[in-house]
Amino acid sequence: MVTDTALRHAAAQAQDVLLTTLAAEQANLHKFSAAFEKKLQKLVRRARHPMLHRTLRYAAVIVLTLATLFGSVMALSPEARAQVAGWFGSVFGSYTHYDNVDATQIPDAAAEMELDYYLPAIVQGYAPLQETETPGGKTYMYVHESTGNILFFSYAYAQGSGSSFWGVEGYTEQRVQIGQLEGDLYTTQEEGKSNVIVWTSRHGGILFELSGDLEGQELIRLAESVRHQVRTPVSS
Amino acid sequence: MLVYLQMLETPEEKSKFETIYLENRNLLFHVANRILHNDQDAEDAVHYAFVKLAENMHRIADADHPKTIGYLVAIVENRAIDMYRRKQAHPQLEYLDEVAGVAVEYTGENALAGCILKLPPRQRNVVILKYHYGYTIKEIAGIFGTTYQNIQKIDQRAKQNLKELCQKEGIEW
Repeated sequence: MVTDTALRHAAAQAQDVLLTTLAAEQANLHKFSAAFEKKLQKLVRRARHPMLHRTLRYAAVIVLTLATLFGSVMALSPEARAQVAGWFGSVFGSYTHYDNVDATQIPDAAAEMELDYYLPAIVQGYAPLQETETPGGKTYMYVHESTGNILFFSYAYAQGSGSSFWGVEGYTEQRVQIGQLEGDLYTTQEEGKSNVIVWTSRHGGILFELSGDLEGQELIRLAESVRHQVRTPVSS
Repeated sequence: MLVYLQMLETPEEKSKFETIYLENRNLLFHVANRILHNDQDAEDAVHYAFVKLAENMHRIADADHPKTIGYLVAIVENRAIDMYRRKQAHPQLEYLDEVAGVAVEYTGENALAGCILKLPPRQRNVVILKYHYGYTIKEIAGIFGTTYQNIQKIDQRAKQNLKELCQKEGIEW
């Protein structure tokens, strides 16, 4: 009698024979077209991204840009800096460093950090790929079903820890309106780079980022669509 | 380029995906092209397979393992058959098995394995993905980009065909 175990064993053998036959049949190497190489290199670059790393230490990475929000933050006096609870950025050449001062004691900012944020609807063609959550924030990844392009939505709490670098070379930066908030939109025409929009919550408790192969206006629309709900505890 | 800072960097930075892509793209092209007989169409089928791989990388333990390669072969073969079918204007025949996939001659001792290899390619791929890889019908539908109902029908037809083939070989079903 044919059991599931027998089927599993037989299916494994069948697979082995199939692959051996294919390997023997394979003749000359095919020279792939430039268009194919370009599409696959995009997939490879995406595959080098955090989605391959499913650990908490990776999930803590949020890329932010606040350079223009505070102007040249390096010029801030210690007193001024102390008054800036929440996220802020500093410009170093072609990189912007994003840091935060613990805002958990600021009631309005703390209230913002009690919430979970999400996109209620995704751009057509994209499907959820991965969610990674830590006590410091959350990252959602979506993949385009035919191109393999990845869309990121992430946010981080201003808890006084964690920082990020943005390299902004090759980008055009502009200040944009996101509903009643303001943010920074970084756009580029360069192959292999994503457009990015970054903004903070009203009271500085959260830093948001959206990035992907979308036009600036589309990123703004997505940013405006972000919703919140009461945060559920991260299970350990 | 925008750089994502990693709090801790691991030694395993090299993309497993990239390894799989470089080592298997020619084999996959060969599988697709023997069905489609068209370089560009075959490349499209190969690209699709790698997109699906990217979606399911969390299930891939070892880049070199035959299971990984077999998974890709099943996807690209199925995709090539789909594309061929569409070109032949048979869009309503989602699970028609007229298209010949990889033909294999089996001379081993496991008669059941021989029967599996005699199945039409879609049915063979569903059986292998289900029993060898442990995918559910729903997961197979996602891998092949089709509906649960279609894969369920293919699975049922596969079981029926396999039963008939086994009975011809004298295997008690």
